[in-house]
Amino acid sequence: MNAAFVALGWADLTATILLAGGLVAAALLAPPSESGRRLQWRAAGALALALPAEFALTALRMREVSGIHGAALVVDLLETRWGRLWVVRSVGLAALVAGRRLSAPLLAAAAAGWLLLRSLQGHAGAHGVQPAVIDWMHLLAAAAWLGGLVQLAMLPRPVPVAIAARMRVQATAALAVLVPAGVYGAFLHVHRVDLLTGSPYGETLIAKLAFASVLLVLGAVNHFRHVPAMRRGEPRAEARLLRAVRLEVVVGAVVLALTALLGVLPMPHGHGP
Amino acid sequence: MTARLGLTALVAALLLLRAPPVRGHAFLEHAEPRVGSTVGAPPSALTLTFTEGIESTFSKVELTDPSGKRVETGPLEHPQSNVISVSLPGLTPGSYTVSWSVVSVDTHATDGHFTFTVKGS
Repeated sequence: MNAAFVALGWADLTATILLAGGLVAAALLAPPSESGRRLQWRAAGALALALPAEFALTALRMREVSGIHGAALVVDLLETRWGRLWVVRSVGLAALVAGRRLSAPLLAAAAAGWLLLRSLQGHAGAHGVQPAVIDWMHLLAAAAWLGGLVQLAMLPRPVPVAIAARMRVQATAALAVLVPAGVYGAFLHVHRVDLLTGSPYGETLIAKLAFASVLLVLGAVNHFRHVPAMRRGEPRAEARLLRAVRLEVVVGAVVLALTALLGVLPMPHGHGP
Repeated sequence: MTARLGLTALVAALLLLRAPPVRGHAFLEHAEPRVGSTVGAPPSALTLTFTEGIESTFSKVELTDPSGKRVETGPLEHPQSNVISVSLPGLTPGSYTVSWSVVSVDTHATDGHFTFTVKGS
C-alpha cells in the first residue's frame, strides 16, 4: 500500500506544483502559452482524480488499523483533521478552476493560499502552525521555481530576453526561500546527523539533497551564463538556456518523487519512551 | 541583488535552525505506568503520551494480563491531542502487556507494545 501512497503523493505534488506554479508564473513571469495554459488545467484535472484516490487509500489504511468500515469509516475520516483539510483542499481546487478567468495576480494569490492547505495536511502540519508555514514557504518557492521553468520551456520561440531575465529573478528569489525553509525542514525531521545515514528517511533525504544540488548547479549556470549571454545577444544562448531548463524540469521531477517518498516514511526515531 | 538575497537566506536559515525536532509518525514518548517498570500499587489508569497529535477514533490500547487474557479497561479517553488514556480495573500482581496502535493527525499509523509489572504485597 505504501507504493500506492508514494505514487499518488508524487502525482498530487507534481500536479500541485504545475498548477500553482503555473498560476504564479502567469502573474510574475508572462502570460502562459496556449500549451502552458492547457498543462495547468490538465494538472487540475489530475488533482481532481488524485485527491479522491488519496482519500480512498487513506480510508483503506484506516479500516486496516481500526476495523471501522462502511459509511462510519467515511464519516470518521471526514471528521479527522486530515479529512477536514482534504475537503477544504478539494473545494479550493474547484474554486481555482471555477475562477480561472480571474486576473492573474488574484489567481496567483489564491493558488499560494491553497498550497498552505497541503502543508497543514502533511507531516509538518501535524506539528503546529510554524512548521506548516515554513513547509508552505518551501512548497510555494518550489512551485514558483519549477512551475516557472515549465512555463518558460513552453513559451513560443524566440523567448524574449526580458522574460528570461524575469525568470532569473524569480528563480533566485525562490531559492532564497527554498534553501532556508528546506534546511529548517531537514533539521526539524532529522535532528541528529547520525540519523541521516541510519534510516530510510535519512537516506532518502540525502538522495533528495543530491538531486536538489544538481538543480542548484543548473540554476546557477542559467543565472550566471545563459541569461547574461542572451542579454548580450549571443546566438546559441537561448537554445542552451532552454536545454538547461528542460534538464532542470526532469531533475525537479525526481526531487518531487523523493519528496513524495519522504511523505510516507517514518522520520528517524531518536530515542524510546 | 543576488548577494542580498543570499544574505537573507543565510540569516533566515540560522534563525530557523532553532526549530524543535519532530518525527512525522506518532511514537510513544512517555507512558504511565512507565515502560518496563514495576509499580508497588495497582495503577488506576494507563496513560500514553505520543510524539505528536493523534486521531483517537482510529487508535486503540489493549492490556493483557500475565496469562495473556485481555483485561477489560474503561473507554479510550483523549485528554490532550497527543495523549490517550484508559481507566483500569483493580489489577492483581503480575506482568501486564500494553499493546497500542495509533494514527497520527497526518494519518500515519504506528503500533507497539511494552510491559509493566504490578508488585505483589
